[in-house]
Amino acid sequence: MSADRYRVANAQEVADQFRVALGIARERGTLPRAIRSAKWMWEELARTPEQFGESRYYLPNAELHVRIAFVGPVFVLFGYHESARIVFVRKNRLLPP
Amino acid sequence: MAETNGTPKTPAELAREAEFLSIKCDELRHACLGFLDDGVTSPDVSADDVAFVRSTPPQRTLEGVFAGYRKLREDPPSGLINGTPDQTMAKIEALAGTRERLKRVMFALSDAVEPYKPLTEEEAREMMTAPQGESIPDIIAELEKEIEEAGHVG
Repeated sequence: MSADRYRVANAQEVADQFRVALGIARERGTLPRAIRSAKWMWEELARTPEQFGESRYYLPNAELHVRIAFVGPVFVLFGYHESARIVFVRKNRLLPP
Repeated sequence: MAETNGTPKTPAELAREAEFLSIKCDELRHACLGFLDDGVTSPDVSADDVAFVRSTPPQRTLEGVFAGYRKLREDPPSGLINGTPDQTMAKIEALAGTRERLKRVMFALSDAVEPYKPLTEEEAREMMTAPQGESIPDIIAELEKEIEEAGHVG
Protein backbone atom coordinates (compact mmCIF):
# COMPACT_ATOMS: atom_id res chain seq x y z
CA MET A 1 0.00 0.00 0.00
CA SER A 2 1.33 3.43 -0.94
CA ALA A 3 2.02 5.75 2.01
CA ASP A 4 -0.53 8.26 0.82
CA ARG A 5 -3.33 5.73 0.73
CA TYR A 6 -5.73 4.62 3.44
CA ARG A 7 -6.43 1.00 4.30
CA VAL A 8 -10.13 0.33 3.80
CA ALA A 9 -11.50 -2.07 6.41
CA ASN A 10 -14.89 -3.72 6.66
CA ALA A 11 -16.45 -6.31 8.90
CA GLN A 12 -17.91 -9.50 7.41
CA GLU A 13 -21.39 -8.05 7.96
CA VAL A 14 -20.56 -5.28 5.47
CA ALA A 15 -19.23 -7.79 2.93
CA ASP A 16 -22.46 -9.76 3.35
CA GLN A 17 -24.52 -6.58 2.80
CA PHE A 18 -22.51 -5.94 -0.33
CA ARG A 19 -23.13 -9.44 -1.73
CA VAL A 20 -26.86 -9.08 -1.05
CA ALA A 21 -26.86 -5.65 -2.75
CA LEU A 22 -25.11 -7.01 -5.82
CA GLY A 23 -27.51 -9.94 -5.93
CA ILE A 24 -30.36 -7.43 -6.10
CA ALA A 25 -28.51 -5.49 -8.80
CA ARG A 26 -28.11 -8.69 -10.79
CA GLU A 27 -31.88 -9.35 -10.58
CA ARG A 28 -32.55 -5.80 -11.76
CA GLY A 29 -30.07 -6.07 -14.60
CA THR A 30 -27.93 -3.29 -13.14
CA LEU A 31 -24.98 -5.35 -11.92
CA PRO A 32 -22.35 -3.75 -14.21
CA ARG A 33 -23.42 -0.24 -13.11
CA ALA A 34 -23.37 -1.22 -9.43
CA ILE A 35 -19.91 -2.77 -9.78
CA ARG A 36 -18.58 0.29 -11.59
CA SER A 37 -19.94 2.61 -8.89
CA ALA A 38 -18.52 0.45 -6.12
CA LYS A 39 -15.10 0.39 -7.79
CA TRP A 40 -15.01 4.19 -8.01
CA MET A 41 -16.14 4.42 -4.42
CA TRP A 42 -13.48 2.10 -3.06
CA GLU A 43 -10.80 3.92 -5.01
CA GLU A 44 -11.88 7.27 -3.54
CA LEU A 45 -12.16 5.76 -0.04
CA ALA A 46 -8.55 4.61 -0.29
CA ARG A 47 -7.29 7.85 -1.80
CA THR A 48 -9.20 10.78 -0.32
CA PRO A 49 -11.83 9.75 2.24
CA GLU A 50 -11.59 13.25 3.73
CA GLN A 51 -13.00 14.67 0.49
CA PHE A 52 -15.22 11.91 -0.83
CA GLY A 53 -18.94 12.27 -0.04
CA GLU A 54 -19.95 14.66 2.72
CA SER A 55 -19.18 14.91 6.42
CA ARG A 56 -21.95 14.04 8.87
CA TYR A 57 -20.26 14.19 12.25
CA TYR A 58 -17.05 13.67 14.20
CA LEU A 59 -16.51 11.36 17.17
CA PRO A 60 -13.71 12.98 19.20
CA ASN A 61 -12.86 10.06 21.48
CA ALA A 62 -12.61 7.60 18.60
CA GLU A 63 -11.04 10.34 16.42
CA LEU A 64 -13.39 9.24 13.67
CA HIS A 65 -14.76 11.47 10.93
CA VAL A 66 -18.04 9.94 9.73
CA ARG A 67 -19.20 10.62 6.17
CA ILE A 68 -21.75 9.38 3.67
CA ALA A 69 -21.57 9.08 -0.09
CA PHE A 70 -23.98 7.97 -2.76
CA VAL A 71 -22.84 6.95 -6.21
CA GLY A 72 -25.98 5.60 -7.80
CA PRO A 73 -27.05 2.98 -6.97
CA VAL A 74 -24.57 2.38 -4.13
CA PHE A 75 -24.82 4.16 -0.76
CA VAL A 76 -21.99 4.00 1.76
CA LEU A 77 -21.55 5.16 5.36
CA PHE A 78 -17.93 5.25 6.49
CA GLY A 79 -15.57 6.70 9.02
CA TYR A 80 -11.92 7.55 8.62
CA HIS A 81 -9.18 7.84 11.20
CA GLU A 82 -6.69 10.31 9.84
CA SER A 83 -3.56 9.50 11.83
CA ALA A 84 -4.05 5.71 11.56
CA ARG A 85 -4.79 6.08 7.82
CA ILE A 86 -7.71 3.66 8.02
CA VAL A 87 -11.21 3.88 6.60
CA PHE A 88 -13.92 1.82 8.28
CA VAL A 89 -16.92 1.05 6.13
CA ARG A 90 -19.94 0.84 8.41
CA LYS A 91 -22.69 0.17 5.92
CA ASN A 92 -23.26 -0.13 2.23
CA ARG A 93 -26.46 -0.78 0.40
CA LEU A 94 -28.14 -0.54 -2.93
CA LEU A 95 -30.83 2.00 -3.70
CA PRO A 96 -33.72 2.07 -4.25
CA PRO A 97 -34.57 -0.22 -1.33
CA MET B 1 -2.93 37.29 -4.44
CA ALA B 2 -6.56 37.06 -3.29
CA GLU B 3 -7.74 36.31 0.23
CA THR B 4 -10.30 33.93 1.66
CA ASN B 5 -11.18 34.46 5.32
CA GLY B 6 -8.06 36.54 5.69
CA THR B 7 -5.75 33.81 4.40
CA PRO B 8 -3.88 34.74 1.23
CA LYS B 9 -4.34 32.26 -1.58
CA THR B 10 -2.15 31.89 -4.61
CA PRO B 11 -3.72 31.82 -8.08
CA ALA B 12 -2.96 28.09 -8.23
CA GLU B 13 -4.75 27.49 -4.92
CA LEU B 14 -7.74 29.50 -6.08
CA ALA B 15 -7.89 27.55 -9.33
CA ARG B 16 -7.66 24.26 -7.44
CA GLU B 17 -10.44 25.26 -5.03
CA ALA B 18 -12.72 26.37 -7.86
CA GLU B 19 -12.14 23.13 -9.73
CA PHE B 20 -12.62 21.01 -6.60
CA LEU B 21 -15.93 22.73 -5.81
CA SER B 22 -17.11 22.37 -9.38
CA ILE B 23 -16.43 18.62 -9.26
CA LYS B 24 -17.98 18.33 -5.79
CA CYS B 25 -21.17 20.04 -7.00
CA ASP B 26 -21.37 17.56 -9.86
CA GLU B 27 -20.83 14.65 -7.44
CA LEU B 28 -23.64 15.95 -5.22
CA ARG B 29 -25.95 16.70 -8.13
CA HIS B 30 -25.49 13.16 -9.46
CA ALA B 31 -26.25 11.82 -5.97
CA CYS B 32 -29.42 13.97 -5.63
CA LEU B 33 -30.57 13.06 -9.13
CA GLY B 34 -29.93 9.39 -8.37
CA PHE B 35 -32.16 9.55 -5.28
CA LEU B 36 -34.88 11.54 -7.05
CA ASP B 37 -34.85 9.32 -10.13
CA ASP B 38 -35.23 6.32 -7.83
CA GLY B 39 -38.40 7.92 -6.45
CA VAL B 40 -36.98 8.96 -3.08
CA THR B 41 -38.84 11.88 -1.46
CA SER B 42 -38.51 13.75 1.81
CA PRO B 43 -40.69 16.29 3.60
CA ASP B 44 -37.52 18.35 3.96
CA VAL B 45 -37.03 18.59 0.21
CA SER B 46 -39.35 21.15 -1.38
CA ALA B 47 -40.51 21.41 -4.97
CA ASP B 48 -38.12 24.38 -5.24
CA ASP B 49 -35.26 22.16 -4.07
CA VAL B 50 -36.13 19.53 -6.66
CA ALA B 51 -36.32 22.19 -9.36
CA PHE B 52 -32.95 23.53 -8.19
CA VAL B 53 -31.37 20.07 -8.45
CA ARG B 54 -32.84 19.46 -11.88
CA SER B 55 -32.28 23.00 -13.21
CA THR B 56 -28.64 22.48 -14.12
CA PRO B 57 -27.41 19.17 -15.49
CA PRO B 58 -24.05 18.05 -14.09
CA GLN B 59 -21.16 19.28 -16.23
CA ARG B 60 -19.47 15.89 -15.94
CA THR B 61 -20.61 12.29 -16.16
CA LEU B 62 -20.10 10.25 -12.99
CA GLU B 63 -17.00 8.80 -14.59
CA GLY B 64 -15.90 12.37 -15.32
CA VAL B 65 -16.34 13.28 -11.65
CA PHE B 66 -13.90 10.61 -10.52
CA ALA B 67 -11.54 11.34 -13.40
CA GLY B 68 -11.69 15.00 -12.31
CA TYR B 69 -10.72 14.15 -8.74
CA ARG B 70 -7.84 12.03 -10.04
CA LYS B 71 -6.61 14.81 -12.30
CA LEU B 72 -6.80 17.32 -9.47
CA ARG B 73 -4.66 15.04 -7.30
CA GLU B 74 -2.12 14.15 -9.96
CA ASP B 75 -1.98 17.27 -12.09
CA PRO B 76 -3.41 20.25 -10.19
CA PRO B 77 -3.69 23.61 -11.99
CA SER B 78 -0.55 25.70 -11.73
CA GLY B 79 -2.40 28.99 -12.12
CA LEU B 80 -5.76 30.55 -12.85
CA ILE B 81 -7.53 28.84 -15.73
CA ASN B 82 -10.00 31.58 -16.63
CA GLY B 83 -10.51 35.12 -15.36
CA THR B 84 -8.95 37.25 -12.67
CA PRO B 85 -8.46 36.30 -9.02
CA ASP B 86 -11.56 38.33 -8.10
CA GLN B 87 -13.64 36.53 -10.73
CA THR B 88 -12.36 33.19 -9.48
CA MET B 89 -13.20 34.18 -5.88
CA ALA B 90 -16.73 35.07 -6.98
CA LYS B 91 -17.00 31.70 -8.72
CA ILE B 92 -15.79 29.93 -5.59
CA GLU B 93 -18.40 31.70 -3.45
CA ALA B 94 -21.18 30.79 -5.88
CA LEU B 95 -20.05 27.16 -6.04
CA ALA B 96 -19.77 26.97 -2.25
CA GLY B 97 -23.38 28.17 -1.97
CA THR B 98 -24.53 25.59 -4.51
CA ARG B 99 -22.63 22.88 -2.67
CA GLU B 100 -24.33 23.74 0.64
CA ARG B 101 -27.80 23.60 -0.88
CA LEU B 102 -27.12 20.34 -2.74
CA LYS B 103 -25.62 18.88 0.43
CA ARG B 104 -28.75 19.73 2.43
CA VAL B 105 -30.94 18.07 -0.21
CA MET B 106 -28.65 15.03 -0.38
CA PHE B 107 -28.73 14.59 3.42
CA ALA B 108 -32.53 14.86 3.50
CA LEU B 109 -32.95 12.29 0.72
CA SER B 110 -30.33 10.04 2.25
CA ASP B 111 -32.07 10.22 5.65
CA ALA B 112 -35.31 9.18 3.96
CA VAL B 113 -33.80 5.83 2.97
CA GLU B 114 -31.27 5.39 5.77
CA PRO B 115 -32.51 7.22 8.89
CA TYR B 116 -29.86 9.41 10.47
CA LYS B 117 -28.63 7.70 13.63
CA PRO B 118 -25.14 8.76 14.64
CA LEU B 119 -22.82 6.09 15.96
CA THR B 120 -22.03 6.25 19.64
CA GLU B 121 -18.38 6.31 20.66
CA GLU B 122 -18.83 2.73 21.90
CA GLU B 123 -20.28 1.57 18.57
CA ALA B 124 -17.43 3.29 16.77
CA ARG B 125 -14.86 1.48 18.91
CA GLU B 126 -16.58 -1.86 18.20
CA MET B 127 -16.51 -1.13 14.48
CA MET B 128 -12.84 -0.18 14.61
CA THR B 129 -11.84 -3.37 16.42
CA ALA B 130 -14.03 -5.80 14.48
CA PRO B 131 -12.18 -8.54 12.58
CA GLN B 132 -11.63 -7.80 8.90
CA GLY B 133 -14.27 -9.42 6.73
CA GLU B 134 -14.09 -10.49 3.11
CA SER B 135 -12.55 -7.68 1.08
CA ILE B 136 -14.96 -5.67 -1.07
CA PRO B 137 -12.42 -5.24 -3.92
CA ASP B 138 -12.02 -9.06 -3.94
CA ILE B 139 -15.80 -9.47 -4.27
CA ILE B 140 -15.82 -6.90 -7.08
CA ALA B 141 -12.97 -8.69 -8.88
CA GLU B 142 -14.78 -12.04 -8.54
CA LEU B 143 -17.98 -10.63 -10.05
CA GLU B 144 -16.13 -8.81 -12.83
CA LYS B 145 -14.50 -12.11 -13.79
CA GLU B 146 -17.89 -13.80 -13.72
CA ILE B 147 -19.38 -11.12 -15.99
CA GLU B 148 -16.42 -11.33 -18.35
CA GLU B 149 -16.69 -15.11 -18.58
CA ALA B 150 -20.45 -14.89 -19.16
CA GLY B 151 -19.72 -12.38 -21.93
CA HIS B 152 -17.32 -14.79 -23.59
CA VAL B 153 -19.85 -17.63 -23.39
CA GLY B 154 -22.77 -15.49 -24.51
